[in-house]
Amino acid sequence: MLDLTRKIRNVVSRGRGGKGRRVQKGLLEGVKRGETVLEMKGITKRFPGVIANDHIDFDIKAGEIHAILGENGAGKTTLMNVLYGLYQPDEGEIRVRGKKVTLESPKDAIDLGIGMVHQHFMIVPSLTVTENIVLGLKSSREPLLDMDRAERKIVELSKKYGLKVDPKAKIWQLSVGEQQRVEIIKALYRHAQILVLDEPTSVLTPPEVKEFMRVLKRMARDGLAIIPFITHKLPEVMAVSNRVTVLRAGKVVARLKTKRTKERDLVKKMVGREVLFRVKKHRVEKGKMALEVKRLRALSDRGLPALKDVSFSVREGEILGIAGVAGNGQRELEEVITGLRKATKGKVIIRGKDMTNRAPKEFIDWGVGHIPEDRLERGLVMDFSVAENLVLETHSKQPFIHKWFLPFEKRRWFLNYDEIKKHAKKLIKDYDVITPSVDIPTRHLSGGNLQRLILARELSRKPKVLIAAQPTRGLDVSSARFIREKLFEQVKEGTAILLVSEDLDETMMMSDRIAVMYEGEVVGLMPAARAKREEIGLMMAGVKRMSKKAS
Amino acid sequence: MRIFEKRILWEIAILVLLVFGALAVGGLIIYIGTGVGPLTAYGWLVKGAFGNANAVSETLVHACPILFIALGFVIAGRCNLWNIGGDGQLLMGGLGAFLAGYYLPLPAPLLLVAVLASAFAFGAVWGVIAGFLKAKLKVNEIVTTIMLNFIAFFIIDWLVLNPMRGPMEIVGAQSMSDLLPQSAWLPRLIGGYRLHVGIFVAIAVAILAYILLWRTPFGYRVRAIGYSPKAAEYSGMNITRNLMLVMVLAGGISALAGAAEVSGIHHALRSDIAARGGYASVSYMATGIIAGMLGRLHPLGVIPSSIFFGALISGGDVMRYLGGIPYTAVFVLQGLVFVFIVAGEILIRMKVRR
Repeated sequence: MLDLTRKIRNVVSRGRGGKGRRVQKGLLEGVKRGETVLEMKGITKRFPGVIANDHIDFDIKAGEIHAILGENGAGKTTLMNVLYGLYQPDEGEIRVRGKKVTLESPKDAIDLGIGMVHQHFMIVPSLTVTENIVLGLKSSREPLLDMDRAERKIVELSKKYGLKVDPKAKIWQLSVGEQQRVEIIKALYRHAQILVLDEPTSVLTPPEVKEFMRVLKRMARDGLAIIPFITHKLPEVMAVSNRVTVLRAGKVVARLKTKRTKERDLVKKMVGREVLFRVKKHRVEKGKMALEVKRLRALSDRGLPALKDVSFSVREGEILGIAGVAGNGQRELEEVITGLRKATKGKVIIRGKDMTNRAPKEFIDWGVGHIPEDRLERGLVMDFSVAENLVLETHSKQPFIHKWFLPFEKRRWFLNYDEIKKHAKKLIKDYDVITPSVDIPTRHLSGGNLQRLILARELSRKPKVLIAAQPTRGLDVSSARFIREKLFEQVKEGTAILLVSEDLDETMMMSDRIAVMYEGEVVGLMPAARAKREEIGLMMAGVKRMSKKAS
Repeated sequence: MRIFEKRILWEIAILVLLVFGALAVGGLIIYIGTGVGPLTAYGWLVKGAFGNANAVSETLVHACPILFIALGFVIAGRCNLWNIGGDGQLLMGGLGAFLAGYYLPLPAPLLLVAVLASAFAFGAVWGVIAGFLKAKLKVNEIVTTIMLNFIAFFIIDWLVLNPMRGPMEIVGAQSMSDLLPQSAWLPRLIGGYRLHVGIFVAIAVAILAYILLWRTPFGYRVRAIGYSPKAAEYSGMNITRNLMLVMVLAGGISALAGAAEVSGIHHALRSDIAARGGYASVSYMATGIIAGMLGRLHPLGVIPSSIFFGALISGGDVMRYLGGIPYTAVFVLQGLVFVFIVAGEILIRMKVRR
């Protein structure tokens, strides 16, 4: 639906502002290093009720890496869409090599030489690398494809920049890092001179990030202009960028040479106030065994073994972090220990009770809270109101039921919306959820607020065991911090937390112990105090494993 | 809250506009086909639908089964199930109503309750077959409900031609069963007119359905499952059980249309009670589903939309008598309304700007 409205908007604006002026192809050919290739001046974009971009200036030279930094909602996505021709700015202009251009669609951007690597890759899993790269392009042998030639060119490009990838491999066979390389090659294949990267490192393992940084440097040295857009994951980008532009609330708040800044200052500028980068961890007395998983096995959606003899345990007041690259069984694990997926073998014991393969409701009633990885599909009913979403599990319990039929205590006939709303109003206050009202559909809320909503609901049930999967993924710094603090508070009250996170920094900072998952197995389990980043990185990549008895 | 009221007004305005658009195109088709000017034709239509007491009575008589079927469609639709089994459920409901009315030795008021309850039960069984197949075996409910329509039709057809064949024959039409005893007839409201209490039962059911969906924990779960089955599963709802319950309700409510036809109009069981005017493909079900869509899948919204289609049917009769406009024009109009509201979805969903 959104896409459709956007398309319509595009068509409308095309009719209005286009005047038939086509973008000049090859405007960026023969650029020399150090020449300013792109300027954005006074870019302003308004949406009903908000100014997403407020007079933003930006420029980049060939051979430069100029990062754009900002929290969720700072206006990064809008700016990116303006740059890629998806939105037309209300004010301001875009100049390429000094010439004013109008980008009416992504096609214009591509024709000009602006390439985009999206956070969620736009590639077809069942096709090969080469097929994906030539997708939508005219072949030299129309109407036939010329795969050999395409392949040769791909190999050439990948050698030139060190983007190792097998052109004949199918996408689904590739790791996330390799898929990203395919996206980059795809842009280069279309003669991109300006490369826009959306959250490029958020999906990569530490070794992959290092490799990626090398590639970026090489491309910049070769004269490409590279614009990474970043919410979090500052350190890596700090390491390679020449300049950083920081956005906050739609405005440019700082433009700095990277060499002369510190990470802390950047975060301060981004958030607008001093935010402790590290949440203080308190020592908590560990209590009784809360969650125990014994030689657990389960299948993935495709029916392949996803968990292979996974065993671990979490005590009351303890956080066990599960580190690992996405797709190594974490999702299946999360689902098995909340009743959403059947275990084929093994045991799940929660607070002394065998809960293996029970229904989700029994887990909920037995004090298991769950912050699901898939927030939008699993965690919330997006078409329900905020108030309705806050009672998903508890809607048929007191006080949310009218007591009109008191003689029939068990008859839960009518919802008490006054109580449901009261409950919601209290929670959105306690958890700083920003929403105009508790009656609006949840889908109108932003990412950080959605996650606060889920957290509020799950913690309001006072769980004894909490499964938190990717609790801060994609969130801005202050929301992420808020959520981590709340989790710590919970641990202090004796809750056992299983933290599944792809963000290794987060896992290391928050956990008491860390388990590393690789291909459905726990390949390492160690106290966080003794954990080394590089070592965990190697385990995540499957290079190294610990002997099983080490915990 | 104000924004929601605006939203609703906007939706209604757009829907009215779309209906007028459909009528405009329909008028053009009628003009091309018969040479009768659209305004003249629609004049007859309005007269036939609301022009006198009998016209209003006929409008409501037709609106009644449409409303029941629309409600059966809406309740399932709120759980994201497409109940295209209105015909079959109506027929089974007719059978249930007839059996109860014919065989149960009860006094009149109790007997009528039994007639409705029996119709509901028969339809519920018919609906839950599809519900069971969907919930347990993930068989697409659209396919099963449609297929069950045929099964129901041939069961009833066989019954009225063989074991339940009555003494009377309708000239040029199918057989029908014996007549129901008078105590099993739904009371008619005004002497001489066909209007019976069914329409009020239907409106009451619509209000109950609204309360059920928006004021009870069960309705809450139904809507949660409809919007997002994964989130519903996550929050501990029993999806299998709720899907089946929804189909019980949907089938049962659609089946009340059968009770209305058998016990309110024909006073006997016939196999053509679902089809109108001998057009098997254009049945109360087809109209009911379009009414459900026009009513924005809302139990209260389908009340006016069902009355609209009831008016179209009774007015269509008059168009035929007075202007020789074939009755099929009504089906054309119905189809156009459907096309317009489906295509107009984008307008309905457009953002309300201040």
